[in-house]
Amino acid sequence: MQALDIGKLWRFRYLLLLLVWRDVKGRYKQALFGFAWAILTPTFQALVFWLVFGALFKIPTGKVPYLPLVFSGFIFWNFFSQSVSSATLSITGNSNLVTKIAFPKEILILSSILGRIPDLVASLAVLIIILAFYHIGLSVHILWVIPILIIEMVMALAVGMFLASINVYFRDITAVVPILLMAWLFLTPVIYPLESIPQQYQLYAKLNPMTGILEGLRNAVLIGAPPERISMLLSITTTFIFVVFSYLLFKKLEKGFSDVV
Amino acid sequence: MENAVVVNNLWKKYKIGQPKKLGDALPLFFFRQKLKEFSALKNINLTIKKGERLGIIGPNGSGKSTLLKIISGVTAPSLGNFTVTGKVAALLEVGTGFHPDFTGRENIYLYGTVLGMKLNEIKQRFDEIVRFSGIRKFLDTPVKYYSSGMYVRLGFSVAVHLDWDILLVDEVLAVGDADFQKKCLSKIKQSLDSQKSLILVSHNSEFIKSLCTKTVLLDKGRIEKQGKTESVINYYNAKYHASII
Repeated sequence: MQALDIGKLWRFRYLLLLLVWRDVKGRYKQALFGFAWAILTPTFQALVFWLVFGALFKIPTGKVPYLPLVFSGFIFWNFFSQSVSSATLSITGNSNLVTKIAFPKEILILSSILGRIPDLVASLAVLIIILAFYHIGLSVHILWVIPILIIEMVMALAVGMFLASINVYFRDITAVVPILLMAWLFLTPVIYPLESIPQQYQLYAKLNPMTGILEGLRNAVLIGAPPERISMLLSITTTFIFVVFSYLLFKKLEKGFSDVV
Repeated sequence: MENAVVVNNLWKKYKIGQPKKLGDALPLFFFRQKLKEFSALKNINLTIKKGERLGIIGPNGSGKSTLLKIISGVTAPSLGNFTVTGKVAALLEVGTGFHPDFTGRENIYLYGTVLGMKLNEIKQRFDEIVRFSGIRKFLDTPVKYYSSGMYVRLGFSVAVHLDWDILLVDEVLAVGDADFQKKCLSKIKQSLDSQKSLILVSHNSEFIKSLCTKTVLLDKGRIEKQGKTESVINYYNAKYHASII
């Protein structure tokens, strides 16, 4: 069994930094709108769902109007889902690095996640404009966003390590991930609020670690309230269990990466 | 004397035809079929002390490069274990230690930090590294566009100018021209001291003779003979080259 070797990871911080920088730069260099896509993607997603569920079907959202609800849902969800999809491909996509440098391969997963932070920050700026438009004020509880985002990153790390390591051996994972993420999106309160789930199913919804994370982030931004304690604790617990399991699996499979990839 | 590298009962096995699809893997799993295996290294035992220079010779496919790859940490052994004391700089197949998409400049920093150096320590030696390599013009080009000669020049310059305790050199030097080879040999000799160890794989017995005190002959993944360089090379030449000449 492999213990977590922070000292070894620290030695590779420069590689991590370079990989993150490359990832961010490379992603937008070839696109016509460049960095604007960081904002355009959640905006279009939110508009589509606003049209269908906000204007057409009019699902009840309590005090908060639908557009800020769905927009904030998408930016925090996209941060997770885009991290997971690029992390899944990060080992197989960097085969020439994996077979040429001796380094802890979780660096690749970490860089896939950290590389999504600029997108998130850019779309948070748009969210603040939307909030101002709806006269939703910010309170000091917005600071909850920071610790909850860290939990979200740990969750992305767990899912990313899990999928990426299996993907080295079975490329089927590449095909499964978009389906998985779509199902997960609809099972998580992203395009609807948690309250719209019938009472008897709420506990099951909260067993999904992303529920507590999404609700916590949205509470902090839209209502200006601290996270609901039970769902947050459930999220932290499930995330922690999953990340430990995932890390052990990753470290076990990592030994074969350079031979199989 | 302290040990720099210790290798115990080490095996490296490769599976032939590793499945990449679930559809190929499931029948293997359900019918308990085993993939054919190929052992590149069979029960290797080696000890290299600090300050020692080891040569590795042997015909193609004898496992020389695989052994270096394991010691450098790029790939893991299948059985057995090894311990390495100190920082390892590896010049294995062309491009080892480099990120192909990074520029020459970025790779110099990358290599240094991987060896555990601080950024300003690398900065101090940066100019010297670039001068030695002679590729200043292409410093800001991604190394994937380099010719194999340029790769080796940069790789070698970085490796010998940074802080290492154990230097692993595979056949790569053969890629450089005679001038550069000579420059490298004298640079290696210069940097070696009583604390630094070298493992050199080469088909060039002159290289081995001029650098290594001890030599191992590998054949089909096993250690066939080890001992003083002179006697191992003579044995090797007598056994493997007799039929050609």
